[in-house]
Amino acid sequence: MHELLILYTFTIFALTTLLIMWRPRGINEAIPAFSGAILLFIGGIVPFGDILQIFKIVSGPSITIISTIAMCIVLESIGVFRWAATNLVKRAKGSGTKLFVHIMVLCFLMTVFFNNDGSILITTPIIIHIISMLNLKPRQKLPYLFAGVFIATSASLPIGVSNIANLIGLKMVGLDLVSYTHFAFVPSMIGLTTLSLLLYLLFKKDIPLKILTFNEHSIKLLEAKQKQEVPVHPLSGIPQTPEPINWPLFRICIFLVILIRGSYFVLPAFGISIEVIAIVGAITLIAIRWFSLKVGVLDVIKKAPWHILIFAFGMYVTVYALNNTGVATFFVGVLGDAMRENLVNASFIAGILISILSNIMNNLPSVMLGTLIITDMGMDLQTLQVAYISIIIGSDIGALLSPMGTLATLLWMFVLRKNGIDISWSKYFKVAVMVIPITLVVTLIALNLWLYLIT
Amino acid sequence: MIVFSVIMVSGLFFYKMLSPSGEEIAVPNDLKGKKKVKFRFNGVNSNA
Repeated sequence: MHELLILYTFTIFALTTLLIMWRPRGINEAIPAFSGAILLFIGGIVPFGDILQIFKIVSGPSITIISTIAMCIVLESIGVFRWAATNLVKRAKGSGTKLFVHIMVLCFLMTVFFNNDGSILITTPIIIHIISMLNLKPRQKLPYLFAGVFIATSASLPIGVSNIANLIGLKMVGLDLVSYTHFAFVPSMIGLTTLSLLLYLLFKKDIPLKILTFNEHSIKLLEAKQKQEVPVHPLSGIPQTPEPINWPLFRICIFLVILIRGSYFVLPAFGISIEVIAIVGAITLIAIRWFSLKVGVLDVIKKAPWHILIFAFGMYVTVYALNNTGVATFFVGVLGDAMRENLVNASFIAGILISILSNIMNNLPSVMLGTLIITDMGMDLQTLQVAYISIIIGSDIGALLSPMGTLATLLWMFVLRKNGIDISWSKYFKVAVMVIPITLVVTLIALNLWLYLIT
Repeated sequence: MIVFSVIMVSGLFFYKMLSPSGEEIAVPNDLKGKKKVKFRFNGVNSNA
């Protein structure tokens, strides 16, 4: 490729990534991603045939994530998350440590049953609501906020379906969700446990021993306050009116979400694709809500993140163009021999490389680039799949070292700022550097030990 | 099927975390809320 074209591609890529993370005037991240893709197509860096192929690769995962968030919107609209804050405080029974654990469990489950971005959008306001209700000192708020974002983001690792970055490359390396989970679940859970313990040890002094407890009187007061101060949730867009919750609908909808999640691991064996299951799930939930409450589909259409498809497509075209300049060839030349040598090398090199790249240019393009690099390395299938899972470990855990590593962490900072909580990037880094590198290494070691046990 | 079972069990925890604890829920007869719905929350009756 001509040097000018290489310079053109690198400039477009750098500008696209910068604009996605900076988002001047709050522009949607799909705009710079798609603009970059168009400029690269016009420049002839990515041919039309490849564009169609890229659309095919990203459409399935994007539809899955959009459908998942649509389900989340339906659940939010019927008040499923309304009790989460009071529940967590009540279950903590006056213990700050128990609250810390319950928050981590909620964030983990939210990501497992929805996705990491949806989890951040739902749980961060819940955590903010809790720490406000409990009148915690500023330093006492940090353990809960950091536990929320770190667990919500890294919890997309165990089953692979909770993050678009995880899904995009699966087929390219010959994995499906079941085989991914077979390899990744146990190491991921070891990693998440390590992360939780490290966070606890780091914040042990800041976690209050005792917190306020709810009695009948305070519940009444809280209910009255909630009626006066109607909360605005990021997913709702408009202030919520606290209406009576329809409990049968509440139960049916949660059951359906869980069943759909479980179906991702059973129905593909019968030839039904994940995106079809997700679409059917979202439509069923919308239909049940309409049947029960006579609420139409308009709110879901308005709030669903349709731009994810354009964003993922634009981002992939940009990375694909970068790959065409010879970036992958460069990495294959430098790292190929070492990675082909054995599984340990392949996993550690892939995991650490993607962690570094993610913190420079965000994890979605990094995973895309990393996948293109490892598929060019001529590794055997098992090494290729292990390298891919390590890439996902780097993308979901290593990327947490700085806020720019994932869109979820940027979203988290945005939600905090909107609620008057200012956590600087240096403060974030000081916490992350104490827990993330150790968690990354432990997870990669656990992956290798697990592979040794099962193969 | 193992993953499916793990997901379903985790789902039970998820449901428990999101449902109000300790309350007895009166099933609303009128889903549009024309009728007042009675909640019993930790022994406290309130009209929602």
